[in-house]
Amino acid sequence: MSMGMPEEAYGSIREEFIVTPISGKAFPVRKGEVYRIVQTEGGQCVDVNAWALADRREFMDTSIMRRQGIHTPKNGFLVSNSPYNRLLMKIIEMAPNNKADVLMHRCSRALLEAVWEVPTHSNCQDMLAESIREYRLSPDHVHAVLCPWTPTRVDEDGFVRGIGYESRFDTIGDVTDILALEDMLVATCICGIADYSNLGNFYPRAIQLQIFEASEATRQMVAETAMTYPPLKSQLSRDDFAFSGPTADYAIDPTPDPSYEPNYPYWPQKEVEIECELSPAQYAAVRTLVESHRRDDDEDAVRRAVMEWYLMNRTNPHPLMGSVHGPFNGAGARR
Amino acid sequence: MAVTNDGRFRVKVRFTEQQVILLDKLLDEGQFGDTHAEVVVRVFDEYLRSRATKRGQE
Repeated sequence: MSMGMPEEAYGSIREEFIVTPISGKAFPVRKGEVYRIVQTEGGQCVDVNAWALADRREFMDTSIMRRQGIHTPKNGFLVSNSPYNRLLMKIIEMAPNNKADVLMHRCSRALLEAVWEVPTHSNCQDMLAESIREYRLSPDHVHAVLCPWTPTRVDEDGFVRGIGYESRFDTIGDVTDILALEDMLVATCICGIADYSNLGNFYPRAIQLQIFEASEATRQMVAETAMTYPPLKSQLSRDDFAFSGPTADYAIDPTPDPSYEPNYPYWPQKEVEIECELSPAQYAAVRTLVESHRRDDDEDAVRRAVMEWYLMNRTNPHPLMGSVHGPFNGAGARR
Repeated sequence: MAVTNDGRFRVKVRFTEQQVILLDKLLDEGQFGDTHAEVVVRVFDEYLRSRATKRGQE
């Protein structure tokens, strides 16, 4: 499984958690610990946020991370916002087909309302906000996301396209391992529009989070990173920001709020089973989708067809979505 | 999947409750039938037609 540091070199697992659809979870992750996201069922788009525990004003910033590529690669870094610009975490394990997008920002209520005309739908902004509420952070602390397992591309005209995976079995069992180079708060959610988008195979599924304690090997890797990329003289320290208040006011308390009860809309996920009657020709088409286009099964083939058709024929072009799911020609393109 | 007496195929398809919101919108349009099952089957047909059209254009 591991192509870099073998898992045996990690410390013991100190935290394991199943994130069920559609929700999220935040955890403190200490320097030298490894944070793992597991694609237990495959094909699930995942959104990640990360803050420095010492100062919530310092957080992972995808706009600077894009300098490493539109997909943060294995051995790539989660880099903090200017003017901090520190290396906060390092991706130490991911499969070659795991594309960790840093273009997509995150979905929101406004996006769902504008494009699908569903103002109450689950979305990453709200889920990440709910997950960090356990650590007394507020919705305005959510920032642009790192999205493992989110293949995207920029076409020849410069437009962003969401690609997705042909089959969720392409990623089932995969992991993304991220080494903490600083003491962090990390929040991960199942993508809020996984059921409306090919980026989640139109069906939200659970993922697993694990945190491995620091080990001699992981501490050594943190030290080697600091030697390769030592702190820069020009980096401002937190004391330089005293004008906005004492630094201590901005520290994140790593103990979870004991009164916190998670409150996600449409969680746990409920389903409605619809029995459809298909003609022989229609069923033959279902089987073709399963066999030639790698749909999971008959149900997945039909559901995905319906949701894809809706996406292409009933959603509104809008700047909040842009070109991700189809051509966008600006404000004049409203359906 | 089950086969009916008249040779049709019954497929059970789970939708999330949030996906059903979209099926309800299509129901309200009135052109896809009177039940969720009818909507699903007719939209599936539309999907197949759009794929065939796209292949014809390639």
